[in-house]
Amino acid sequence: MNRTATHPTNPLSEAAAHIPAGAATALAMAAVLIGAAFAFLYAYDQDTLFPGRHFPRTWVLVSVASTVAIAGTAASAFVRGWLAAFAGSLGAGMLFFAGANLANKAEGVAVLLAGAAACMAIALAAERRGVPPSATVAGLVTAAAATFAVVGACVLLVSGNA
Amino acid sequence: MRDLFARMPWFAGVPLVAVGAAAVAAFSFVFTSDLFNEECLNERNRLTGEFEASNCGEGARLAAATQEPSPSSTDVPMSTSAPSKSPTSAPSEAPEGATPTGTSEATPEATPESEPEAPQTGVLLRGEFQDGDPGHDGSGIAEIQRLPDGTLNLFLSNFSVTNGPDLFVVLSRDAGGSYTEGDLVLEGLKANNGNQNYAIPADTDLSQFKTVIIWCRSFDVDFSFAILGGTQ
Repeated sequence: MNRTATHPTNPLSEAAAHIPAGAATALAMAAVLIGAAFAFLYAYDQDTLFPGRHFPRTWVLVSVASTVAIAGTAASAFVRGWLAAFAGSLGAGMLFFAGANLANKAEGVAVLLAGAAACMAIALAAERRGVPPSATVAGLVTAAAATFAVVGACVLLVSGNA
Repeated sequence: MRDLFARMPWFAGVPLVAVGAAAVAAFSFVFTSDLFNEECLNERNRLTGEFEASNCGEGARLAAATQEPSPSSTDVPMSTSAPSKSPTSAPSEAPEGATPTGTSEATPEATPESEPEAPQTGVLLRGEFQDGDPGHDGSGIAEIQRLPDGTLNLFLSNFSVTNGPDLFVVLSRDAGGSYTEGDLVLEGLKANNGNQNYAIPADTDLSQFKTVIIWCRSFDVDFSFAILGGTQ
C-alpha cells in the first residue's frame, strides 16, 4: 500500500518526495560528524577550564555517544530496509540524548541540535525508502535507553573528576 | 509497535514521537546533565575584598570578575577600602571554642565607651570539606565570617565538589555531615568549583550548627561536608 497516497498531507512524506534517500543519509552523516566534533570540544574545553584536572565521566559519555552515532549512521548507508532506519535513528538519537546531557554549555546545545537534525534526516531517508516509521521510533527508544544506561554506568563506575 | 505506527495518522504519530523525545531530553537536562557539567565561580572574599586563588583556570577567573553579587548578600568594598576596624569582642552566637581571627586591627579609641560593643569582624568558624556519600567528592575550605556591617557570611574557598542536580548549601546540626530535618538551608549552590559567598541570616544561632554540607535536595544525598571548628 502506498502510504504517501494514504496520508497526502504528511509533511514528512512531502519532504521525502523531494529529497533522495542518499542525500538525506549524507545529511545525517554530516550532522552526526559535526555533533561529535562539538561533543569532544565540550569535553576538551571542560578540561582546559580546570588546569591539571580531567573529567573521565564526560569523556566516557562523549566517546560512547559519538562512536554509536557515527557507526549507526554509517551503517544506515550500507544496509537497507528496517535495519537501516533503526541503526541510523539509534545513532542520531544517541547523539541527541547525549546532547541533552551536555546542554548546559553552548557546545552541548550544538550537539543536541545536530542530533535532532540527524534524526530528521534519517526519518526522511526511511520515509523515502518506504520503511515503516516504527523502525525510526524503535531506534529512538533504544537510543534513549542506551543513553540512560551509559549515564548510569558513569555514575556507578566512573569518577566525576580526577 | 510496527502496526501501531503504521496505522496511526501522521498528525498523531509525529507529535507523539517528537513530544516523547523532547520529554526524555528535558528529563536528562534537568536531572542528569549536571553530572557532566563542571562550573566555576570566583567571587571576592567579602571579608577581605580580595579575589583568592582557586582551582579554576584563568578563563573562569576572568568570567567571574564580572559576576554580580548575590542579591541576598551584603557587599563589601572591593579593593581600596580595608575591612572595618571594629573592637574585639566575641559574637554572642559563636560556639564555645570558636576563635575570632578577623583581619581587623583593634582600635579601642574608635568606639566611645558609652556605645555598645560591636561584634568582632573576622572568621568565626572554619572547616575543611571532605568526601560525602560514596561517589561524591569534595575539597576546599568553609569559613563563617562576620562582615564589617555585622552580617554573617559563609565563604567557600578553593572549593570543589562533584556536581549534581539540585544542590544546596546547608548549615547542619549533625556533626557527621548528614542533612537532618530542621537544618538551615542557605541557598542553591552557585557553582561546584571556585570561591563563593553565601549569606547567613543575621539571627542565626551558630552554636547549633556543627557542619556545612552540600546537599542534593532531589535525592537527599550529601555530596560533601566540612566540620566547623575554631579558626586555629
